[in-house]
Amino acid sequence: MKIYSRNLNRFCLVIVATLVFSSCEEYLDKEPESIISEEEAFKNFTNFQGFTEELYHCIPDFSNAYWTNSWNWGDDEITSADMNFHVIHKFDNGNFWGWQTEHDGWGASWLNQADASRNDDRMQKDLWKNGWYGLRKVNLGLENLDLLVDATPAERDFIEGQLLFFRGWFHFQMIQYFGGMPYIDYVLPSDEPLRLARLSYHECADRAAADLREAADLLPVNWDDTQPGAATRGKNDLRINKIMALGYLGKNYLWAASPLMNLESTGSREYNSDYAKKAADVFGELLALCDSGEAPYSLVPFENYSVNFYTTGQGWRIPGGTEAIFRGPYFGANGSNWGTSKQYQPAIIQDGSNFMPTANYVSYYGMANGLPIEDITKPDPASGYDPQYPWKDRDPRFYHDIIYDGVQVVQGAMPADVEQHRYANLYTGGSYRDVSTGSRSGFLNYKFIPITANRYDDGFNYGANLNLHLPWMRLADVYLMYAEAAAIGYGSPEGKSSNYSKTAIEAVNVIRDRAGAGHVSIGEGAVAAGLDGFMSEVRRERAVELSFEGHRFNDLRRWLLLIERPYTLKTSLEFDRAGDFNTEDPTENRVLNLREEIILERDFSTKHYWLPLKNADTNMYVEFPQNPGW
Amino acid sequence: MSIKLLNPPHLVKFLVIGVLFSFFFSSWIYGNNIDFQNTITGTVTSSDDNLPVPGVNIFVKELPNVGAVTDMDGNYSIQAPADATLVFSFIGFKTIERKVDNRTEINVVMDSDLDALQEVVIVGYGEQKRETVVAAVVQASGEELERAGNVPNIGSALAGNVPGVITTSSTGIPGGEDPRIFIRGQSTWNDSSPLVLVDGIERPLNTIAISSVESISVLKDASATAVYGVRGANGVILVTTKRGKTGKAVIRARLNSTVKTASKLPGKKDAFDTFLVRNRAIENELSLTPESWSFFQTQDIIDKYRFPANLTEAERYPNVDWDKALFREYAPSYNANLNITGGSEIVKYFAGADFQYEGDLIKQYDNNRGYQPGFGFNRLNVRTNLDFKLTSSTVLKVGLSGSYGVRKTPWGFGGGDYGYWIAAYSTPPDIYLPQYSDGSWGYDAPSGGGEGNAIRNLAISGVQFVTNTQLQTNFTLEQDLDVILDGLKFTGTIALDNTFVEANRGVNDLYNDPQEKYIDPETGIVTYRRTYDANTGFDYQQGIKWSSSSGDVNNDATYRRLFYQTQLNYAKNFAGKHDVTAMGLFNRNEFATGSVLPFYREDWVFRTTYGYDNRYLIEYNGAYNGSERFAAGNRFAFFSSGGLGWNISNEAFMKEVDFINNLKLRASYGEIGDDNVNGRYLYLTQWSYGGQARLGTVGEQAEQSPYVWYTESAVGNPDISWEKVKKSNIGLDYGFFNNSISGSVDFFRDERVDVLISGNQRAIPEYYGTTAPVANLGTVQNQGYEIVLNLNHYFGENLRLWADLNMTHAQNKVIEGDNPELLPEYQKNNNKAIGQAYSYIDNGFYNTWDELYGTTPFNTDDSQKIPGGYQIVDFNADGIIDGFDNVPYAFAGAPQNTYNATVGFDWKGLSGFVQFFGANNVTRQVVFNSLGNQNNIVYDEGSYWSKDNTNADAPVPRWVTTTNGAANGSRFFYDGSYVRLKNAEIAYTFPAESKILTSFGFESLRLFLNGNNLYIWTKMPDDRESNFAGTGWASQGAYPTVKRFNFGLNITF
Repeated sequence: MKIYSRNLNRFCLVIVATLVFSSCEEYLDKEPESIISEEEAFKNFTNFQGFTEELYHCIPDFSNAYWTNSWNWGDDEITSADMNFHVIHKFDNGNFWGWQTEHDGWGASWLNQADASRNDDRMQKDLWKNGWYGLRKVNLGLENLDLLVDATPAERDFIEGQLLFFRGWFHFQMIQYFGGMPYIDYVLPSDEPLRLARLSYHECADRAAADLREAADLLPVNWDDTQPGAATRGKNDLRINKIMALGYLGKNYLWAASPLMNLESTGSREYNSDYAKKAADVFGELLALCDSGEAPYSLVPFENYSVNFYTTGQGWRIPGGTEAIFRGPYFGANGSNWGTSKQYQPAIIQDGSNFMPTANYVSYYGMANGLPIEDITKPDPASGYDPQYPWKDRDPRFYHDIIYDGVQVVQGAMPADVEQHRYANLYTGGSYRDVSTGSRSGFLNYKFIPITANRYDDGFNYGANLNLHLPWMRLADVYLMYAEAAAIGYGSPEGKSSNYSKTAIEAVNVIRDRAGAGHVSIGEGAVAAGLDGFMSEVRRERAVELSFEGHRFNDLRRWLLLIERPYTLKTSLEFDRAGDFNTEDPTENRVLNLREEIILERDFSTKHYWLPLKNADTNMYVEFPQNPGW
Repeated sequence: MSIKLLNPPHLVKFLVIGVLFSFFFSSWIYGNNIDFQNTITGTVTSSDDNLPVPGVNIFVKELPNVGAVTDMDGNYSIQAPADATLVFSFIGFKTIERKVDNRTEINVVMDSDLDALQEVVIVGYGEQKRETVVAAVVQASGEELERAGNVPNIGSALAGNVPGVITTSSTGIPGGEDPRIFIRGQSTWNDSSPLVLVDGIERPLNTIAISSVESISVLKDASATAVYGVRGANGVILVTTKRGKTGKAVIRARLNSTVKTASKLPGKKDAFDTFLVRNRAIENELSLTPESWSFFQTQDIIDKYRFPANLTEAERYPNVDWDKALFREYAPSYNANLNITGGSEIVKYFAGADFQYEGDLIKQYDNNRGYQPGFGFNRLNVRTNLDFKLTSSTVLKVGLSGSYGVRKTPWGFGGGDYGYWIAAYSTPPDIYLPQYSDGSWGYDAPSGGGEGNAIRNLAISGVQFVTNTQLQTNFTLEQDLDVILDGLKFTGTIALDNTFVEANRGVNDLYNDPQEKYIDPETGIVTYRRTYDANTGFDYQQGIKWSSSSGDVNNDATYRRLFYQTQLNYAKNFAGKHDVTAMGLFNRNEFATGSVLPFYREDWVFRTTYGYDNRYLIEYNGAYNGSERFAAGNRFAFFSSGGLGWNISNEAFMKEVDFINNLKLRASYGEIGDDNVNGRYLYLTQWSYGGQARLGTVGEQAEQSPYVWYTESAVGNPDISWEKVKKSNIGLDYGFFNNSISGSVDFFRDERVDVLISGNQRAIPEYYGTTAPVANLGTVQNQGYEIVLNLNHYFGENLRLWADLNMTHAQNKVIEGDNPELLPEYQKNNNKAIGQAYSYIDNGFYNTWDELYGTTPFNTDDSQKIPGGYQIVDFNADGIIDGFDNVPYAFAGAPQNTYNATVGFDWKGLSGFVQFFGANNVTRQVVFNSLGNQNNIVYDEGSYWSKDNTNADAPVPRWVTTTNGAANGSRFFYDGSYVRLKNAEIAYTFPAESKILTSFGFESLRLFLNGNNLYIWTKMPDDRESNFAGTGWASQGAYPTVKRFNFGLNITF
């Protein structure tokens, strides 16, 4: 027994001794083979392009960022009374904090998400967090460009061009909402205090312009025709190219030229014609490339107009056609059918939620002859508008975008007890009108959904492949921005840049022609003469052509109109039906007692021109102040 | 020489133990050949029953090497000088000293020591005699936990029973009731949960069966926890499982049969009253939105909700009591356990099995789909602890245990689900019937099903069984090394644990929607949600598409652990007065879940104690630990602590003071670390490879680009290190009047420095672009006291009354957080508690338009004010109510004070007790917003403001209009204080001679009726101590906490 236990003792001692001498720090090291080195990411085109492409997932899908979606914050749209958690509702009440996740309990704002990420979840995309993340990534890439040794010059240019584009693009997106910000063009260190000062709008815009210009010079018009793009030929539509860089370069200049931005940087409430000229030149360069066919962008024919916004029955193809210039990726095409494609109809034909166009905004849709309607309640001999037949002879885009009283909405069979809801009963007291579940304004917005998007026709069922996904920039927008920049920069509706053949007014008419609407006529009807008259038509053209695509709020801001009446009003159209109801041609229906009623007035002051920054950021140091008034 | 007997000794076993003692110690007892003048003999008997006590240890105080042990009849014989003093000691009895004074026969009557249970205290990596402990350690026995009315988890049973342990519970969901546990409050905003060790190995607390627990020891101060080095800062809970005892096999069975009912739920008005309030809200806001009028409900319609004329009206005007619709009156729960203990010289064994069933509070509705949805929990635990005596000096201890727990939930149930109980919190009473008479479910057509039908959700939720299979093994070899050095002992332990989690077994019933129906009360028109089949165009038919699913491994929850440890212990008494112990050990821990790289730890621990004459005690502990979370230079550190004790009652000058049985002063100080933070390798800037951009242009999911992302996934901080706590503790243990008054008082203070602040909590501008690295920038102080008072008194022979009272106060304060510089002082977290509540402050109502115009304007939505709103205090007096008027309000979410009072009696076979548990100085935010988001629900919130009642409890809710967020003031912040009747029990133990026992062959039988969480007194609208369960939002609720009423019996064979 004793011998046994002695042996055991010795055995134990050996164990102890072994453990004592074998213990070491390495036991707790991270296994080296599990570490991915930084150098690996940059060594060749495949890896570096992989590094770069995460940036594409920093682009928010503003039309599908939540179940239902609010991205029109001007005088263009109003929600039913129960949608009071959306950004638009907060903005209507003057509460511009609502863009921040801290003030958005539902996480419905596409500008800011608490759980922002670059994964495949459309609801975790935002501009604020992913934007700053993207900028860090861009700078990491640019600072390590010298590690890219195993690459052709073109490959190297494309990577640098994409990175520079995104640096300009993120900054542009930030400053258009918040005003001048620090320009982040290096990898910010983590071991020293960050005390970057806010620059002026123009200082930021100049630096964004430099990046975008360089990007445009480095990038091809079309990746498909290049060596680096060959591996992904036919699948390069979303990759950044020269046209995208030029589009945003021009837009950045035009915004810098606009009254709001000029006021911030120079104190002048007028346009800045220097920036406008620069903008016109860049847009001219872009349009010349497209008109000549060198770049593969062209306006889609009007009969396919809706392909700009949605596709159906095309295997979920991304909307945009030949016209979309800059689009973000979509994250699950059927996602839009969980909300966005159901947010425009009254509950009576589709349980869902309601976003509808305001009557005041619908009035921007003028007459087919190209003339505007000055007052929707009064006859206008010049344009031919008749308030007893308000739906007659309107701009063709009115009929594409807007559901008005009497339009046949349900196309197929429906139960007999609800048959009376087949036609849009949008007259005062009609079944499509309801403060909380129907239209508050007398109109519905069907620009982004097919007419079958209701519970009876079921146009959004999975098999219909309805993919609703709006582009950030399309060619029509560029024509109109060119028109604005050229007219301002060169002081006349006939103004044009030296590198492009069309004048400002001709550029607008390209858009009118596509829609089949009459040309811009200055000094006729409600249109004043001269540049002022032209500019009011440019503004109206942007309102109509780009309606509900998320441009109006920023346009009103940059034109210094957001807080001015009537742009603070949201109205409904009240009327009664008269005479026989024509189901074949609803434009023939006569109405009586047509009047416009204010349903909401926005109580704005100058502080509402810029969104408030986060208090957490502005409380850190004095050189990063809050926007005035917040 | 540490035979310990933790249960009050039963006479039958004395014999066995006595024999063992003589066997063990005969060699040295009789081995000494000192010539003594007197041989002293005598008998030792117990004062309890006058029967002899075998195995009593007797030694000569002046010559500690001379001793004897009583035989089976309690007789002893010892040789001692005539002027010597004999010391009689036996575990479970009070030690007695007798002067020889030339006598040759000394008979002794020993009094049993009621604190015998606590004679030995489990401390980190060892055990100590209660008398010599200088650290702040409390211990609770398994029996104490068993009193808690058949709660299924140790955490819930701990509440109140252990001073210094602060629990907060949040849900009663079967299989997930575990409360959050803090020991002495929080001193970090990072994970504050204590380290839990089961038989020395880090193991989850929630899968242990209470019936297998011998004792639970809670280590609170530096002296106790420093041996855990980098893990001990939040306190340590040591669970010790039962082991075998030498003697004949004893079989114990315990049966519990419980009914559970939902505890307090938020009070809600019925449809009738809701409409009345809504109409008032509409009238009230007409000046802002005349269009609100269209929502006004006329009285004749409102009446129909309460008094429907027939079934058609009852379906058209629903008035659902959702609490009744959703919950059963009671749900069952059972526990049965059986264990057997015994042992021989060679092997001692404990084997036990424990079965727990937790039933579901939620009602079953027939779904016609052939499966039973809902919640439930079944758990079978088995444990075998074996001690083999391999040689006279070698013991091998083997512990094998398994737990097989099956949790039933709806398919795919996760932490963020609330759709199954939301009806108890916020579903309007008038929105729809849960199920119509034709079998279709109700749905909310106007909002497209926005307000989900909880009953429908559950009925067709599918079922999922999540099976948690745990296998835990530990093997310990104990070797006496007296051959090398007297008192030296080696212990080697190796433990292997494995847990497998299988999920997704059950019935997957996703996307198989049944028909749903809505009846528009205005028109009576019925809307069916599914008008026709999308594929065929025919009438909608509910498909039979649900299918059973065979389950798969939940890799993320599967874990394995390897632990090995070698330990050397030395304990020796020199010359009867000098007690010296020393302990040194080394261990390594390898732990991994799923496919992650294993987590590694390495600890080196040292402890030495010295006691002089049981009067002066000194202890020193050291731990040298490594943590993989930190860079090589910061990876290892040395933590040390020390303690001093003074047993005043053992001093000679106290001998005269009869009424003092125990008086001990303790003090300890030391430094402990904490690396319990999210994230690994925090020092490394890490890159990851994975993910591809969806740059394709067709397909539901666009095609992915071939280029795979490289991502900087984390920015490292090379200087990162662990948090350090300097803990100090001063305590006094006391026992007076034969220990009928006893207890302790402790003051403690934790100073935690280098508290890790995660990147998103740091004052780093968001334009930094990614999560900033974690940094050691915080400082937190936590201090408080614990008072324990135990009373125990016999009235006559049979009646004993007792009371255990304790209170814990723990209050923390952030000394330094990383705050933005320009933030006003009151919005920095400095000098405030962790989790301090912030609110706007309301100061009465503005009652007229004049007063309204006189209020400080809101920075937004000011135009939405109407008379009857709260005056909000412009705290910073800048003339506008904005974010800077949101100020610290009341307390934090963890209570500062907890109180426990247990009062009981024993009278012959009858015993009973009640336990009250309470907490105060705590704040909980519960946002039950009547009519919020145009949801037709009104909570009980007292009287509403009107111009005739300007002293109301609440402002009139809004319907269409919304207000500035500040307008609610602090109305949704509740005083989270509560007192609850935590436990109560009445029990009867049949007398030993009872016929029932003999006829069934029982050795003992005890019947009891007890309960848990029987009643609550609180201002909170529901019975939840915290919002952490479910989504974390109080308004989205949680599976309700429960009351338990339990009947049970204990049988010993």
